[in-house]
Amino acid sequence: MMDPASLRAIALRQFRRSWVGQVGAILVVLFLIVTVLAPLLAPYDPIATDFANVLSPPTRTHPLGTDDIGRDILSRVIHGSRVSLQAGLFTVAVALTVGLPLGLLAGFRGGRVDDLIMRGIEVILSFPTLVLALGITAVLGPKLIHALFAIGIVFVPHFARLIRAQVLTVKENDFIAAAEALGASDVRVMRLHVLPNCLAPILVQSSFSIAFAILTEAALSFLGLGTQPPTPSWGIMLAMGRGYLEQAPWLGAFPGLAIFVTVLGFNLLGDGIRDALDPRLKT
Amino acid sequence: MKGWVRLVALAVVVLAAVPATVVAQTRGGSIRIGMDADTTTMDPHRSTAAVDRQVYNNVYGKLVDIDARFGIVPQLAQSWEIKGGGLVYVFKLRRGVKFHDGTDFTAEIVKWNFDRMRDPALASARRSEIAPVKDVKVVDPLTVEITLSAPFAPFLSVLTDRAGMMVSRAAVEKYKDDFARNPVGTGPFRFVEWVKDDHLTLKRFDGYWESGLPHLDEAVYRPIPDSSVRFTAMRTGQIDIMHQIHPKDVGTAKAERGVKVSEIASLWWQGLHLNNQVAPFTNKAIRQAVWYAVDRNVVQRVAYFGSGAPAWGPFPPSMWAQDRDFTDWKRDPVKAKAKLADGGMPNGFAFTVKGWNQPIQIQELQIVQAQLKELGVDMKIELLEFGALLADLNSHNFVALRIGWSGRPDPDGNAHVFLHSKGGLNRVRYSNSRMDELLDQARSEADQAKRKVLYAQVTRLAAEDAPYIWLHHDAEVKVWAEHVKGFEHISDGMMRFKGVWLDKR
Repeated sequence: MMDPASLRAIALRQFRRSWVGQVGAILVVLFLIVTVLAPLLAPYDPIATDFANVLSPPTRTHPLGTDDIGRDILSRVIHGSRVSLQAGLFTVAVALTVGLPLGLLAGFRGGRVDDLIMRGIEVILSFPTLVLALGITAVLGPKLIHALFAIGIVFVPHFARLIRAQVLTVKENDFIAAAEALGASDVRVMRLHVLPNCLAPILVQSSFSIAFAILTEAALSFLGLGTQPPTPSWGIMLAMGRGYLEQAPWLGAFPGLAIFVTVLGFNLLGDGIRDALDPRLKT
Repeated sequence: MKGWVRLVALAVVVLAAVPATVVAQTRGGSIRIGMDADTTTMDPHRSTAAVDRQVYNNVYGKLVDIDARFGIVPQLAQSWEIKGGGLVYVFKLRRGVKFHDGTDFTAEIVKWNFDRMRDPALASARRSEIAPVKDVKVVDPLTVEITLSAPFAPFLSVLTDRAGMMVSRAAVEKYKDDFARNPVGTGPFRFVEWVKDDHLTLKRFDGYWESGLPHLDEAVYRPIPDSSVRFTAMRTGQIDIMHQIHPKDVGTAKAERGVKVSEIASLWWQGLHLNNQVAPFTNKAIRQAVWYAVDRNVVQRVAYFGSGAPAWGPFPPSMWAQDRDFTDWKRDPVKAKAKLADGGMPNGFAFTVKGWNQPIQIQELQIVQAQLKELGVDMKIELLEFGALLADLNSHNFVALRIGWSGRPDPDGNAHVFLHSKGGLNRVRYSNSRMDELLDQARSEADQAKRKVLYAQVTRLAAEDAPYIWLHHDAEVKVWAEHVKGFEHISDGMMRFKGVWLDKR
């Protein structure tokens, strides 16, 4: 068995070789910088209105133009990144909190427990993603936090199944049998021996999920079930911009571009990590 | 007597309006109508949605109708006479009118229709509209006499809407509750089919009483809720006429070749409902602070692209009842601040307003939000789907709520229901005995000049009490393809197709 440090070195080397992963990493880092420094980067208050300057095309004072009630679009796109990051992190947290223990338990215990959990998961899985998220937000009420919670729940099956599959392969290893032979409790085995060996796929899945969560939040906000005005969300900006495609295309174009670039970044990063951690690709 | 005079006057106007060169009117063809929503029911006595009236105006005949100048004109009633100090209405009915099912339209049928609307078991939405009706008597087969319990000036005006629409007794008795899907009237078109959320089709009624009408063979209503999509359908020739266009598209529509745009004053008002029974709006000074904090001119300029008019009361500029001398509705931050202090909240307060999740409504709410914020008032917006919004409105489940009213031709219909303490749509639970008195007086007064004075007082008292923050009166805009001829645009926004023909050469 190789020592962990050199495994990490191989993965890192592998990652450095893939331009896909690097472009993804750069985009994600840029996104994080914008998110953290939003108040410093935004030239205006994202909810400050200027009724004398409505639907202004991009100018020197408003590089991305103004929206239908005279707010600076650049500032709104910058601040909107925070809603998107929140969406990504919160939903993955929800999905992990619920999906991880379920997947671990199902995979490790097997038998009836496995059947029970996985059939339940399949019920959730049988709903189309967005429809389920819509249903949950419709019941809970149109608030950002509800929308994010809904997306998180929608992701649970993906995490649970992935982790279960990983556990099934990991638990056949000799070191598990050894730990059990030494009298380690189930919880201890799961925590110390099974879980760490499942981290790689979880990381990849999280990266993809963040991208999908950003998209879904935008979709729910677009449909009026997520962020409430005047909070800037890319989805809401896109929804409002759609009506002005002819008169003022910049209203929808820039938040749309922001969604595109961010989602692309997280997807590329996910691809890069997957390739780096794939044992078959190891050289 | 007055009715006869009007009839003659109308005949003169109509004859004078006929152009020297008469354009040949083409028979046949199908008109496709783009609607903002689907019809909810085809039973006019049960309908509560404005959109339904669009279809009804072509399927059902009414006792009377309104013209472009809000004049009451004959339809199924050929003439009428008002006697007994405004208490008795005698209608002379048109001879030879048939329902689509072949049955005759008679005084007996009119009486039966009124009995149907007044029957508590039907729970008709019309019941409250015709509440003053005490008795309906058949004088002879073509004369009906309606007695009111108190003089009710808006009565004829009420009959130009659904309360005046006559349904076939035979059809109601045959279909019972299914009548709502098998409607039978005396209108120029008969009902053919209705595929929910897809289309509703009407066909020419060959037995229509006005000879030579209608010109069209068919009318197809298509619900296309999104205004932009509807407008695109208009421009690409998928529909021939469209109802409700977003003000931002009006300019584009006017510049578009082959498309006609007509913009007139509507009967609508838009505004905020403030729940007078829930803090902080139990406090009059706080309501007044909001009244002075909003800038209605900005709302008009930004959200409505300059169309329509700012609103400071329930009466739009199209109505004689509007008090044009009233000016105490302009934005005044100093006054608003003072009112906040009077109300014990000098540093402002926070509240949530519920609104419909539609672009123009969202925009309007955000404008108000920004204006209130300047005074330290934090207005949170909660957007809902229309059905949910209506449910919250009807159950008084709101602190503030933004919604509009499509309006009625008589000013009573724009004010009494909202401002009278017993008004059917007084969801804000506003109550002022002086207001009740003024409204009751205004509806029983027949003299328009005297009514105007009363409605001016209503406007001023409503501004003083501020149970609603009126914001805007929409423009009534219709867009149609150039090949659509003979369409008459009326302030109630209803599309009447009997005189319309298609000129597709």
